[in-house]
Amino acid sequence: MVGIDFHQLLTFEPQHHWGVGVAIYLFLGGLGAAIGFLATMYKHVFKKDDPSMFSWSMLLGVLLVNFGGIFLVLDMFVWESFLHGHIFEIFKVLLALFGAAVFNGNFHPWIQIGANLIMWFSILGLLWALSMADRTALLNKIGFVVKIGNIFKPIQGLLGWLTMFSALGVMAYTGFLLSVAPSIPAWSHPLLPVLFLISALSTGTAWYMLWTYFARGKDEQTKELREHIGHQVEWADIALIGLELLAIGAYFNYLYYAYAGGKYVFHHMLSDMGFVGGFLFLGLIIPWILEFIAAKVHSLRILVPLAALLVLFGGFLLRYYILHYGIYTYPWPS
Amino acid sequence: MENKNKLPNWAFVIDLNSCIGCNACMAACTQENQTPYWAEKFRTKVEQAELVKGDNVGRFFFPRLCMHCQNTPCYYACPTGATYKTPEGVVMVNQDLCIGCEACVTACPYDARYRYDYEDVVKNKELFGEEFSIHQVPHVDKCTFCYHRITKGLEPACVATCPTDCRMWTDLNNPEDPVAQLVLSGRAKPLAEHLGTNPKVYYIAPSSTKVEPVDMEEVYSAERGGKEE
Repeated sequence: MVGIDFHQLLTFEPQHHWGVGVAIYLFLGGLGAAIGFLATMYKHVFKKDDPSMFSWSMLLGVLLVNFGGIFLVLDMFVWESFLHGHIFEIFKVLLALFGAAVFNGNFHPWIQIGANLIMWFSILGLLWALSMADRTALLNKIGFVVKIGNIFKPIQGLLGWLTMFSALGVMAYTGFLLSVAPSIPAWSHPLLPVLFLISALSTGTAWYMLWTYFARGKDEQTKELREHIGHQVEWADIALIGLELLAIGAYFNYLYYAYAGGKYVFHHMLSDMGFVGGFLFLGLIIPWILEFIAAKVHSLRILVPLAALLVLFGGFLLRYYILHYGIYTYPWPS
Repeated sequence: MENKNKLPNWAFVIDLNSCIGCNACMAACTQENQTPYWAEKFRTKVEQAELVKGDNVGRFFFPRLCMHCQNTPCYYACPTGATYKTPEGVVMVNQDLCIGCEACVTACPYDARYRYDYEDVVKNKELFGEEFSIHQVPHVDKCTFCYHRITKGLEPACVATCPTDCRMWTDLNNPEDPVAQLVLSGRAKPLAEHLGTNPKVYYIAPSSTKVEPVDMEEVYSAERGGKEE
């Protein structure tokens, strides 16, 4: 008897719910948290002292993470109501921020965990940056900021370590957020949080490459320190891009062998010129080569900012294409 | 005594052999639950599928709705508690708590949720009146098994209206019920069991898709013979 096995029939359908806005949210969330993570790591693990670079970087990190959050809210329905004059609807978002888990006992939602991580990262990171305000260019000219910062100076170390852990959480969260969709093979992938974490760290190092290249410092000591940090982050990024390539390979390997829907996504993603040419080639392999050349040949340092910009471009494209290829595998025929 | 106090374990059975694709279920649901048909958004849908393998062709209709999973991905994704489960295990949405992040929509493996947009709310209020509109604010909407009906001892609107009884309603705590027996015997099965979502909607696979191969030569020769005659 030849027949069609009903249970083997599948339908593949792209998701249209989370688009560019959420990709920006994930990208800026990862980038901002990575900038904050690297600032605290340089200060408290490697014991480097560049208050201006670290404070301003941390403030930028906090700003980026929260600015990215706006794009998530813009994607929500409450925004529609807000635009139509129902201004109180927007405050529903605070339910997520301040932990509806307390009221309903559901501690699983990653948006809620992420919102809390972002909130703690923002508060702790802000206080940590302010605790160095007295030695930070421009900030040290604002009297009340210095006064507030001085209150938190005694606990600067504690704030730094807590910020570091919350930043790590924010970076990984961007991957966990997508993992809640069991029928989307490109999202419910065990490697996604790791991949996003590596990619976020890579974009974070790109920021420090740009800073140390363009703002080399006024005094000799700062110049020397920034050159040292610049060189370190370049090598760190070379290692991170290598790891990212490995993670991408493992991601596709699992996608291909683990799911029927995964095979479908595998073929579509790897035949998309935007993903292969834009992300894999321009956003990953080219900057990897450029960074390697710049690290080895001192006269070609001009390649550093170009590589850093490409890494940032690649970081966004990775998130955009992962969202774009969020293809459902539905258990019915079409 | 024990059975009286026991909560019902409601389940839904769909026999794919008897669905004729009349879409009466969709119409009944739309009227009962004020779903935005003008935007082609429905709580229940009937897909049409044509199965082809070689010369064998099978066509059938595939009704689908929220599976009311007991291991519920949408519930775990909802950050505000808008998605919740009743004591009987029916998955519901509290529209006042929904912020429209759509985490539940992406998490649902069965495409059972949709956006009830601001425009839909306005249009619904125009059609049904402000007072009688059951959709007051934008939210994510989904099938509730017609909770307002089943708690009064009635069947869901789509089951009540189905002309071929392809949609069946039962309480699995009543093993004497012939519909419950379809589930308990394993004849009706849930979709995508491998996901571990433990749905409460069960399907009886279409037997017509297991078609015997047709000898096309026989068909051609019969046709030729017919023409010659």
